[in-house]
Amino acid sequence: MSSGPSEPVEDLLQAGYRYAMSICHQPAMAEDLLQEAWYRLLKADGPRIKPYLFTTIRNIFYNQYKREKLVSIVSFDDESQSVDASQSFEIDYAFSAAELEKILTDLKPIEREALYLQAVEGFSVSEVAQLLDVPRGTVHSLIFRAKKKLLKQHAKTASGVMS
Amino acid sequence: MSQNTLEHQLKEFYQQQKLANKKLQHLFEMDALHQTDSPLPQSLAQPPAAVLPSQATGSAWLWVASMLFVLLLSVLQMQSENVDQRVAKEIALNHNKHLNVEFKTPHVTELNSVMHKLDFQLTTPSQNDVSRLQLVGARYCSIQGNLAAQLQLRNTKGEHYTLYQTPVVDDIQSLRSQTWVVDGVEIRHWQEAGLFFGLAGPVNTSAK
Repeated sequence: MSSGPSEPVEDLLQAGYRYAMSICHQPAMAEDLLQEAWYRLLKADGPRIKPYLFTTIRNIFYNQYKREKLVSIVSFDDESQSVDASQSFEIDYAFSAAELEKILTDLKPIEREALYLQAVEGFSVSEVAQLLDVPRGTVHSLIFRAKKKLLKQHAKTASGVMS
Repeated sequence: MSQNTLEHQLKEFYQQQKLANKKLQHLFEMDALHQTDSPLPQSLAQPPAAVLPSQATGSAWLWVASMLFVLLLSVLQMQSENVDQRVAKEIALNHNKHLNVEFKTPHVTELNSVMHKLDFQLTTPSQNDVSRLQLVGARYCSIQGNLAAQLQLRNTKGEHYTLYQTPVVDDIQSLRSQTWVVDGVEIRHWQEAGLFFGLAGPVNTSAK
């Protein structure tokens, strides 16, 4: 995870927005999360780097939603179902943008987040684990389950039974 | 990488998610405002030596306004110092009570799963010396009337530390990073990623 010098502000803000989108999957909410996180970063004179901005966005989201009991945080059950890296697999289907959008909506925020950080930001499993504050096994498990759900939904879509 | 891999498609999907220009502009403005914050602009603090009558009236008002602003800042500063001291004393008091933990576990993740009363997620702070401490467990407590968690920790020498976490709300918003020694306890507090952290431990020893 890069924690070097400050990044160009626009790049950092756009990355923050995409990350917020990966968690909440709603543009308006992602904008609000980013704005609140940016405000807190400026106020605390925090470093203008992705890990700090991402952690702030994450804390705001989970604190707000834990309060409102809208999302389930990763629990012991998740950890007990940990999978190791050898159980990972590749998905090589062409999803349409609309299909991907709909399928991503069905994932849990933390599953989307883990998938995003690894696939889009290129973070290693250890870096994702550090940001999510969970063991490495849980990250493997989250990504594994997210991919399984994507495949399942894709199969449903292909057979025309997607709700 | 094949164009069809999930990673590639996810990258394309998220690259299309862009913050609207208007919103981006607003965030830039927040940044610009932050950069120019704190000392009063020279133009407000020092009226020009020779001015026309109408300008003089305007300048006088600006001078009065700036004095009021300075006064307000001073009052806020005093209040902020009081909050700092109050919080440091509260942390020292809590630390010295040596109360038993309600939840015994060395994992923060487990605490998050069992401390249901907390309306925030407990986090491992990024500061290396703190993250090296061994977690013993945690209990509920309060900081300035806000529900907080007291995490009990030990260093490799077996010395006792307590770490307090609570969301940055109310008076706590004004607290800056600072180190105190109160009632024989060294207290360091700071804000990180939307949370307030206060670490209490033995004096003159870094948290190792």
